[in-house]
Amino acid sequence: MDRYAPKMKNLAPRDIVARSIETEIREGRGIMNPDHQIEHVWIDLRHLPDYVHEVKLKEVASFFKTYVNLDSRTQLCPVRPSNHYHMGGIPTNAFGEVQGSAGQIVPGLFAVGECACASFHGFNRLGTNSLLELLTMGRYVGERVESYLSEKQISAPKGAGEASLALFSSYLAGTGKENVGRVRLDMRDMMTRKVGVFRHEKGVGEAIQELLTFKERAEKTSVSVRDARWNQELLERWELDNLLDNAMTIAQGALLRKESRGAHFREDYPVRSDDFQYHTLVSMTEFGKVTFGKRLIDMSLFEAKGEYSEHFKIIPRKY
Amino acid sequence: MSKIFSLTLTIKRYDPDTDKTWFQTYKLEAGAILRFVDLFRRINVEQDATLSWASSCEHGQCGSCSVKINGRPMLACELLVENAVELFGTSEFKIEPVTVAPVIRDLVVDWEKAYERVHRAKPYVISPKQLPPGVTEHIISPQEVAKYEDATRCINCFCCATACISSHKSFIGPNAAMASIVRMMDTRETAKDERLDLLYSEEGVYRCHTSKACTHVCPKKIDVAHFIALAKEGDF
Repeated sequence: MDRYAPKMKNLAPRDIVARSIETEIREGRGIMNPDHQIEHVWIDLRHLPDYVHEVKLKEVASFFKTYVNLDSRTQLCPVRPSNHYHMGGIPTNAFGEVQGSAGQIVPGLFAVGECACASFHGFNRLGTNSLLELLTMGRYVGERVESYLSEKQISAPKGAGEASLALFSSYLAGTGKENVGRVRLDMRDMMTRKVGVFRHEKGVGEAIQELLTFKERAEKTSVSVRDARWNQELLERWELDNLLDNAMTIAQGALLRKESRGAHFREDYPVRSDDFQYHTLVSMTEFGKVTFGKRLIDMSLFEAKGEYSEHFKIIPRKY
Repeated sequence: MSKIFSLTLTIKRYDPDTDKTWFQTYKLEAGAILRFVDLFRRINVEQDATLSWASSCEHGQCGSCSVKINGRPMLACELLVENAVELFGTSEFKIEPVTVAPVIRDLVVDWEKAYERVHRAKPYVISPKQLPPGVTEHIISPQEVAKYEDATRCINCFCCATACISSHKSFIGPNAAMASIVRMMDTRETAKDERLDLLYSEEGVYRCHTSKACTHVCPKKIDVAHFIALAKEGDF
């Protein structure tokens, strides 16, 4: 990491470390793990005293022992970037009430947790702070739902639930020999390569086309068990559609954002640009047809010029 | 790390639609550090998409993936192929669901029902001590916490409860008992009588026969039997 972030090194921001590792791998200095068929680099913790491994890095050291049978005190350990958390999500106000593209509240619809972006830490979640999010937002949103329900009688809109029923009926009626698991794995490999750590117009454009093909393949699958009680096949089929939806909106969003900002890195636009100083809103009711909107970034803390406001200024990232 | 193992997994199946139970055998080649959850997933993709199994975090924090491997309750997400072969001295594995709750399908049990015993033990501070006016925190010293800190790492995977030789129906269970014992040791808790009523009741610690099977199988390496032993002595 000396070459990539001379001051902060391994403690540089995650997206920088991810790009550093990925660069090493692309330049041929990665190691292929034969069991998982994944390329990685090594982390060297051998110089640290035993106390650090056993007490301060207990969790990390135990992961290496438990999951790859390696002793971090005496052996190199494998690391590589992975999909750990979804930044951004369903836009809500501070009480989990979902907001439409114009900021209006969608009555009766709430989102909380990783799927939402309540913004304790921007739209990210700092390490070990998921507890903060759960305890705070869980409580606030729960209380708001309770008060909402007691406010007035709400009847379900006409046709509520029909779309979901139709979707599941289509899964059960599906015919075809495609394998849900293989479509998922193929899609995962493709997304990792083309819409992963490094993005480029060509790759992301191809990804969008390939996702359309994956969707077609997904529709040519069938389930053999028709019972609803923990139907693994049905769950996998449904989750595949959800993965495809997420992949398509992510890919299209990545194509549109012709700049680099944080974890989104465009090799063809490696610099941050004020032209893209907004949150991207996406909506997709038909697979592949994404509607985009914008939401302003809340710079009020910086603009208020109060205590600590200078910490919210946008500055070049040097580590 | 590049050795390939030829494994035979014989898995207990259950179909709630027909109420049928049977064993189904799957053979597969797998690398040394693949985990049993990776094997189940591979079976779904390559051999049988209907095989039902549960997992969530897949790194030993949620307790959803516990199963019995050759009779021993373990977390499927932490069991590496090469460790399993070494531990059991075989590459043939019989895999069954845990016994603490009704089976929904195959290896998936109804965790809600399993949790009934834990809820009965009230795994939270029932009645926190009143704080003096102006004071907003309970102060607990590290030495005090050290007494029961280990037990707080319990993920309620129910491996201990599955291994327990006492009846699931007549004993509240090792993990539930331990959850209550920990709060007895917590100086914030004032509802001690209520807890003692449970711990020394017909379903309390006297149902424990000190097999220590709980400690033996705990994937978080908690000495569950130790806490139950302290409770038997009234040492809270």
